This record gives sequence, structure tokens and C-alpha cells, in this order.
Amino acid sequence: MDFLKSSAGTLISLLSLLLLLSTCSGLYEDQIKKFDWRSVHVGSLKHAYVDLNHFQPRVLLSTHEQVIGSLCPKTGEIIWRQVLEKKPRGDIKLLQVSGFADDSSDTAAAPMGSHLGFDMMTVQGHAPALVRGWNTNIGTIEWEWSIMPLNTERAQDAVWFYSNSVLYHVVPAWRSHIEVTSYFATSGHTTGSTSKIMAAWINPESCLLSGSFYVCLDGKQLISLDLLAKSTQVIATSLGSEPSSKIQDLPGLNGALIVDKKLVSVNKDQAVCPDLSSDSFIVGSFNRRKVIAYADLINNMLNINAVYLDDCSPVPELHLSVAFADHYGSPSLRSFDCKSTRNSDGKNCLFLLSTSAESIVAVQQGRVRWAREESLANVIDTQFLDLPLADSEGTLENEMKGKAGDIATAFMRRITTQAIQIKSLFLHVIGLGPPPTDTQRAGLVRDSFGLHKMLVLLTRSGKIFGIDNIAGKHHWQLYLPNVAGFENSEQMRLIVQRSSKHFPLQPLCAIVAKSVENGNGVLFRFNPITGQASEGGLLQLNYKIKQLALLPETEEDYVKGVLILDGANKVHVEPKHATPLAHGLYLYTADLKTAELEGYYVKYAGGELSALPIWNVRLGGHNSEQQIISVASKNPIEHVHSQGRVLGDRSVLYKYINPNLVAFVTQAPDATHKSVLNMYLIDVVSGSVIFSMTHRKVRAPLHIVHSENWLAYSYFNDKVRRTEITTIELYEGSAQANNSVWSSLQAPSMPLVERQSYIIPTIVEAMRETITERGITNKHVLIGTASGGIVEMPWHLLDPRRPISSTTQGREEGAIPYIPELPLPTENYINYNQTVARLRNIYTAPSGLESTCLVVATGLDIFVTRVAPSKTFDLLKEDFDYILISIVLVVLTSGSLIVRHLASRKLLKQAWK
Amino acid sequence: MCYKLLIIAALIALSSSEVVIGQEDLVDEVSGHYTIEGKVYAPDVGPGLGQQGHAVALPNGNKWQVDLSVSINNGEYKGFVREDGQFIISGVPSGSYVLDVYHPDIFYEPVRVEINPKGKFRARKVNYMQPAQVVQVPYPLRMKPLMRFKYFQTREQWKITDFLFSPMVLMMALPLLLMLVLPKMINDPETKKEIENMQFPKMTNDMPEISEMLTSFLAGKQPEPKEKKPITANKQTKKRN
Repeated sequence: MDFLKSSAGTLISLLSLLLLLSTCSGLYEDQIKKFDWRSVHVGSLKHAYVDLNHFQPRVLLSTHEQVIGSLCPKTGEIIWRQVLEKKPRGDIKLLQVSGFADDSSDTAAAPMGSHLGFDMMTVQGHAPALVRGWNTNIGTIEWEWSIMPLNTERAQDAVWFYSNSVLYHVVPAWRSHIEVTSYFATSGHTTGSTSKIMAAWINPESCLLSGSFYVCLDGKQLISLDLLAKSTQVIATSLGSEPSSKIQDLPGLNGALIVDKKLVSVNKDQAVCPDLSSDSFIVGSFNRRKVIAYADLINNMLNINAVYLDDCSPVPELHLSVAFADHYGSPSLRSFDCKSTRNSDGKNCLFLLSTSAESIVAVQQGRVRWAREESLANVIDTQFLDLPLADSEGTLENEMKGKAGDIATAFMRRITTQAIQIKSLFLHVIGLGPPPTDTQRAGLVRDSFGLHKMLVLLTRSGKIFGIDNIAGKHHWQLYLPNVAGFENSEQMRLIVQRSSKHFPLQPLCAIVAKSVENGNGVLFRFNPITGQASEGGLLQLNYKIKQLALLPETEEDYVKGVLILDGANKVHVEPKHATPLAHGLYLYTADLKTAELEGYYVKYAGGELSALPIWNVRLGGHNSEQQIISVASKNPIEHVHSQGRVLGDRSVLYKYINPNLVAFVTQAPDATHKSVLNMYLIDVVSGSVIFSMTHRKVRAPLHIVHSENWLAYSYFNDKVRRTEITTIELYEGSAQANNSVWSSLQAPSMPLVERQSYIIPTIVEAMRETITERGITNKHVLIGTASGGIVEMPWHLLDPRRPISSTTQGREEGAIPYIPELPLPTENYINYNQTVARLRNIYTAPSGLESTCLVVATGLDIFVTRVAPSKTFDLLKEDFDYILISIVLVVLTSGSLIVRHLASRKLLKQAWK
Repeated sequence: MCYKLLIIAALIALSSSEVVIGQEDLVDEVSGHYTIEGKVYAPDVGPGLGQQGHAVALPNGNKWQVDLSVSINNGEYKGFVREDGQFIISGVPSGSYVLDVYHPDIFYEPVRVEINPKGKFRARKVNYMQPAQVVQVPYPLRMKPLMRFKYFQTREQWKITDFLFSPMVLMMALPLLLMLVLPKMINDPETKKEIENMQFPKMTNDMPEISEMLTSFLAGKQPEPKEKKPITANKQTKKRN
């Protein structure tokens, strides 16, 4: 009987679930790429080979993002791409393309598909080291073998080189000896025993491998050793002076090095041209002769020159001079190749450069042929900005904003603006109107629903992009050299200081970063629509940044000031005139390592700001093992529309909506439980711990979303080996303590806490809640999965109030009965098959429409779309049948007219009877 | 009885698969690290089709082998698929892993692979709800495409039948039918007359005529219907009499 009951229960719950799912929004097939786009990246260049003489010309590359791939040399598009393992396993140590070996005696080239040779070989990781052979035409793997070094620590510094079908594994034992093991490249069998070469002169700071030579810098001389030579003879090469920078190897030449922008050879069989001086050198071949090409950036012009290696005479055909845009950063030449024709004139040579802004630039025939912006593989912050108004709307906006004194002036202003509008319309019609501004010409004008915005992306390399969120076009790029993220693994920040709402004033964004040179703070302000620096642009601060906060808008220029807490706990405000607004602000800092929180009160007295420490919290545990792994506060622009939740008995359960509530998650290893995770909800104004929870046998990866009165976080449960999501909701109870103003200092009693855990049948990579203009629309949680998909999960399914037994109360409340496993229907994947490799973060922003939320997912790729959690209730459906509705209207009106006529005739007839 | 049979069958299945695993037992030469082996079958071409299984190019142009990735712990360990679908994941320490095969268009069922410290492999179905339940699958792994992802909803198309059988139309059409057809079916003249008198005059009286309202409004007079009403009422009474 019980069995029957439970099965009936599950049936009911399943049915209700199905009903709910069917109401979920999904995409239609004809909406593909209608309001979404994806850009695919490979990452910043590590190794590259341009090969134009293959039957299928290609650029083979490996990157710092552990990606290997092949690009089309004509357009720069990706032909294929393989995303390897994450670091340290995926770290690519060597990329060897057959036919690109040092000497022509290379016999690795073998027919495709055979297991004897290889097209391309990669060596990655150190423990184990994986050696893989790839088919370069389609990108599939051919063979794979691995070795596990005995001493894994030492193997971290191991280097590899390839010569004559043999792969050499060079493991240095610092200040002692070098171990060299050789393997047959394609099979992994050792060719003999490991040879130990005594070398007490090697140290981790200044050694490298150039071809088969192991070279170390020792003061004014280079000490080197040929690892392939029969006799282990140490060669010393003296330099004129001690080099000021690190030595580099020159790939392609055995034993050649770049020391202080000049070439040096430690191999007496290999001559180089020692008189050349350049930032970057590469070796290639031109008209069947080996050449050295070098590139320098002089006054924004990129000059590429080349000399023949044998006699150091210049190659005039390869000389190039190209205008090189600022935003690429400083270039370095990585590879070049020429299509071999008899007596080539150098016009069909392609030079590949990588830049400090992580771009890949291809130069051919005196111009930049294509450029790939690979810094976009590391987006760290994004903002959506409203586009500027068209002029006419702007004046209208101005009028609405103006604080009109009396009716007469308001009326006069109205009349004059209308006159101006008519005049401009007239001028426009006869073709004498003012020329459209740059932004207008680019189509950057606000649309009526606020869906078209400027997407500003900040990348880890310091490059900033302004991208059209609908078309995906890059409108501007900016490059900030010498900036980096902060301590405590905090990234640079992108802040909107002034939005586009204040019409004659342009919007203003700021980037807060750390200077690489001295560790002090850097503030860069720019116009996010045009990408031009404004308000003086780059500002070097003379203090370190510890914490920052945004102030409210100032009265005069509507700029939100940036409040900065420096290393010595002093408070600064930028711009200065916003300083008085900082009075009465509360700040907190969190140290991840020690898990210590500090709360400060900012006081403005006598023209001086000061930060008063008012509370501190130690989350380190009794033996200070706990470390903070995640901090989640609410989105400051969030609006909560509904203050409570109606229960089954028609009473209201009021939400506990505390904007100062921040969730902290700490993790520590534990003797009995492997790993313990603690979650704390702390009011960061008063410093009181509102709620805390402990999970045992649970570990990172942890992802957390915090919004309204709820919190959801995912973690890995080691005990049952699955990913779970715990959700928490906070309620004040059936009465609100103060329904108009929230004060953390007069905090209401401890909230009621509802909690529940769910199983999610995938690995969670990122989580974010949707956000809309007024918060009326339902909240969904966007969950990025390991496959690169983004699932839209309605909050109904994550609701901790889902009743376990199907009581009538829960059902009346509209909650679905509890099922432990969350469904992931494929219709809810907002990015369908446009998966985002290595998904790292999802950002959301409200649009002008209440129903719609803009989404950008970043990782190796970028995916931009919009979602409508409660469907587009404020828009007509795009498949709305205008014809049908007009036909129905016409038919109904004409029908009613005819019928009335008939009815009156009948009435008349009846009257005559 | 049924249960017993089931259990026996399950036992047989378990024992037979264990034998297979015992034969395939492979301890890697690498100390404490093992290699997971398997084969991914091409989408659209099932394993039943055998040798004629050519690689199928999916709509996005690339070969399926490149779009597909075999990964454990979200890319901590990865395997790449050869042109014939074979893959290995090398250098995996002993433990329990969920092996996922990701392809943007095709769904492959994940498999839990367990490697014990002695290097014995066991593959079983992933069951997050009841982790203790063991349903073994053969090892080396055979990953078969289960289905194509259905990412899109189908658009509703306007059909005349849908329109006619929608509840709104039915609700409107049926009473109309009754109203029009029923009176004609009644043969008795008395009742027929009664129905006629009952229904139609009422409707006309209830609905104010727009033109009349307009004229009365423009003329600024009291609307006429008030005078009319008694007449119709009289008529009715007259006729009844």
C-alpha cells in the first residue's frame, strides 16, 4: 500500500514538474544567432609555425591557455582547435611540427595515418608528461604515450627537445647534474639508459635550452654544454658585459641565443650575425636560403627586416614597414613563411607576430592582414552601458530633467525645443543637417527597448574592448600596459562612474588596477562609448589599494566617486570633490589566507577622511586552518519587487532582505572528514554573524549566487562523489520589523532560515542569477556546466521550501514537491550547441525591458545573449500573427454591421406583422 | 518467483562481466598511474552497423572527433579521440571518476570508472541518487551516442483544425448551433412562438443602439427608447393575451 502511495506521489510530482518545465522559456530554431553570438579564441601565443607550402596552408600553434590549433593563414579563422587539460597537466612544453626541425635530416614526416611518424607532436605536463601526436589536417590525435618521472619535483623544471626522431627529456638537478633520457618520439620506448652529466654550475634563474645546448648565464660569460655530443665538454663563451635582461633562445638555430637584443652562438658550428640588434628575431627560409628576420617598433611603425644567415647580407625583398596600432602593444616576431616560387619577391611571405596585449597579428604585403584578439580568452570584468541618445531625444531628456521654476518658462522651453526639432527635421530633409556623429554613423544609437548596449570587456592583459552586444562588432580597443590584478587574487576592476542617463555629459568608466612597476594603484578613466581616455586618463596613485567602494552620485557632474582604502588604512576618494559623500560609509576587508574580516566606518571631519575599525571577525577556526574560498555579496543594482511570499493559509511570510548581507565560504582540510566547508552569512555593517552552516566531506569547486533573500551554492560532495547545490532562504517571519527603511544597526531578530540541498547531475562551472530593471520578473539561476553549456534553472526548482511530503500547504503555495535530482532539460540550454570552452564566469545585466536580461558568458570563448525568465510578457511575440488578427478584426466588425442591418430588418418585418 | 529469476539473471550478468574485466586487466608500467581505454562510436552510425561506420560530418563542418572531448573532473584528465573513435586517458591515479563524453550536438551517457589501488578497472553506470547501486558496463569503455540534443522548441503553426477545436471556439460554436438548430427542430408551433418571443426581443432591448444614443445626445433630448419600451411591452402582453 505504501509503495503504491509513494509511486502515486512521485507520479504527481513528476507530472507537476513536467507542467512547470513546459512553461519554461526555450529557444526556437529560427532564433539561432538572432540575438546571440559567440566568439571563439585560442589564447595568447606560445609556439607558432606558419606553413604556406603545405597542400593546405595553415598556421599551427599552441597557446598559454593550453590550446593547440590550426589557423587559416588568409583570414586567421580557426580551422580546428583542441583544448587540452588544465594546468599543470596541460602546460605545453614543446610543440614540434615535422619538417620544422633544426636540420633537414628529419625523418619524422611519414604518411598520414601511419604510426611511424607524426605531423605535429606536443609534450605537456611534467608528472606525468604526456606526449601526443596530432593529425594537423583535421585535428585528431594519432598516438599518445606518457611517462611518470621518479622525482616529480625535479621534473617540474624539465625541458624537452627533439632531434632526429628522438625526443630528449632533460631534467636538471640544480647545482648538481643534468639527467638526459631519450625516447623514440612516436613510441615512447627509451633508446638507452638515462645519462647523468655532472654540472654544478646550473641554477634555476639563468639557464635555458637552445636546441641541444644547455646554456647558463654566469656573470659575464655563458656556460654551455652540448647534450648530444659524445664528450661532455663544457664550453664557455664570454660576453662583453653582463647582460641587463634575461637570455632567450632563438628557436630554429642550434645553440643560438639572444642576449641583450643581440645574437650570440655557443655552437661553434653555427654562425650567427652578431651585429644585428632588435627586439625579436626569428629564423626562416627564403628562396631556399636560411634567413634571420627581425622586427622593431619605431614611432608606431613596425619595421621588419631580414638578413641571410650565411653571409649576413640584407634581404631587400623581405623588408616591410607597417603602421602598427597602439592597442596591440609591443610586438614580437614569432614565425614567418613564404610561398616558395622561383625567385620570390617576398610579397607572398606571411609574418606572424604576438604582442604584449595578447593579440596575434599577421602581416603580409605591407599591411596587417588579420589580427586575432586573444586577450578575450581571459575576460575578468564586463559592463553593459546604454548607448548615447540621438540628439533630438537628448534635448527632450534635458527638458524632462530640468527643474522648471514656473509654467511660463517650461512652456517657453517646450516651444523652443519643438521649434529646434522642426528646424533640424527640415534641414535634414533638404540635406543640410549636421553630419552624423561618429557613434551615430557606427549605428550606436539607443533603441527603444534598451536591448542594444555597449559591452565593455576588461581582460587580464590590460586590454579593454568596446563591443556591440547585438552585432558583436569591436568598436574600440584600448591597451593599458603594465597593469595587473591585486593581491589576495583579486582581479582588476571595471567601474561605471557615470551612466549614459545624464545626456549632455558623456558616460564615464574607470579601471582600477595595480601597477606592475611599483605595486601602487592605477586609475584609468575613459569614455566607454568612444573608447577615448577622459578626465585626464591614466592616474598613477601613490598608495597601494586594499579595498574600494563606489560612492553615490555627486550633485554637479553625476560622477560616482571611488572610495579607496589604502594599505595603511587611509581613505582616499577619486575624484576629490566627491569626498564629503564618503561620510558615514561602512567598509569591510577580507583576508583570504587568514580568513580575517575587518569592518571600518568612514568619517569625514575637517576636510579629512578617516577609517575607524569597528569590528573584526576571525573565521579561521580553532587552529586557523580555514581559508576563505569565496565571498558573495548581492548585486548593488538589484531591486526586490515582492517583499514577501503568500503561504497556503493566505498569510504572508516576509523576506529578510538585508542589502549588507555577505556570504563567506571557508574551507579547511580535516583529519576525520577529509575537508570541511563552512558558510557564514555576515552583516558587513554591524559585523554580526546572521547564520552559519557546516558541510563535512565537502570540497571546492565552489560557486555561489546571492540575491534577494536567498543564496545558492554548489560544491562537490566527496562522500557520495557528486556535485550538489544547497539553497538557503531567509525570512523575517509573518511581520516586518520596519517596512520602510533597513538598518543593520537596529537589526531585526534573527531570520527564519529555510534550507535544502539538491543533486545536480553535472559539474558546475559558474553560476549567476538573472537580473532585471525592476525585479518583477522571476529570478532564474544560470548554471554553467562542464560541457560548456549554460542552463537556465528556474528558482522554483531550487526553492528550499519545496515540500518533501506532498502536503496540501506546499501545493497551495505553488511549490513543487521535492525531488533530489535537478532536471537539466536540453531546451533550457540558452547557448544550444554554441558551447563556451573553459567557461569561467557569467555576467548578467538588466535591459530596458523588464522581462529581458542580458547575459555574457566568458571563458576561452565568449557567448552573448539575452534571456527572458518569465517570457517576454512586455513584448509582442516575434511570431505574432498580424495578418490573422487584422482579418479577425475586419471580419468581426463587418459581420456585426451586417448582422445589425439584418436584425433591424427583421425587427421591422415583425413590427409590420 | 519473478524476483528470484531477476536476481539470478543479475548475478549471471555480474559474474560474466567480472570475468571480462579480469581478462582485460591492464596495469600500466607507470607506478600507480593507469590508462583508461575506450572507444567512442560515431554519431548517427550505431555500433550495430559495424565496419561501414564512416565518420559523419555534422552540420558545423568539423569532424565529430574534433568537436568531441572525453574528460574527467571537467578537464583535469582528458582523452582525445582518434579518427577511428579509440581514445585513451593516460596517467590517471587510482580512484573513482565520472568520465564524460562531451559533444555539442550528441548526448553520450557518462560512465563511472573505478580503478582500485591494484590497478583493476571497473566501469559502471552513473547513479547520483543511489551511489551504492552498481550496474556494470563493459570495460574497455564503449561510448555509444544516445541521442541528438533537442535544444529548440518547435514553433506552433496555425492550423484550421487547431482553431476549430480550441475550447474557445467550441464554447462559442456549440451554443450558437443550439440556438439556431433547436428552434427549427421543434415542431410544436406554440413553443416555437414562445421561444421566439422570449429571446430575440430581449437582446435587442438590452443593446442600446449607438446611432440612437448619438442622436439623442446631439438633440439634447431624453432618449426615446423609454417611450418605446412600454410599446413593446404592450405588444408582448397583447400577443400573450
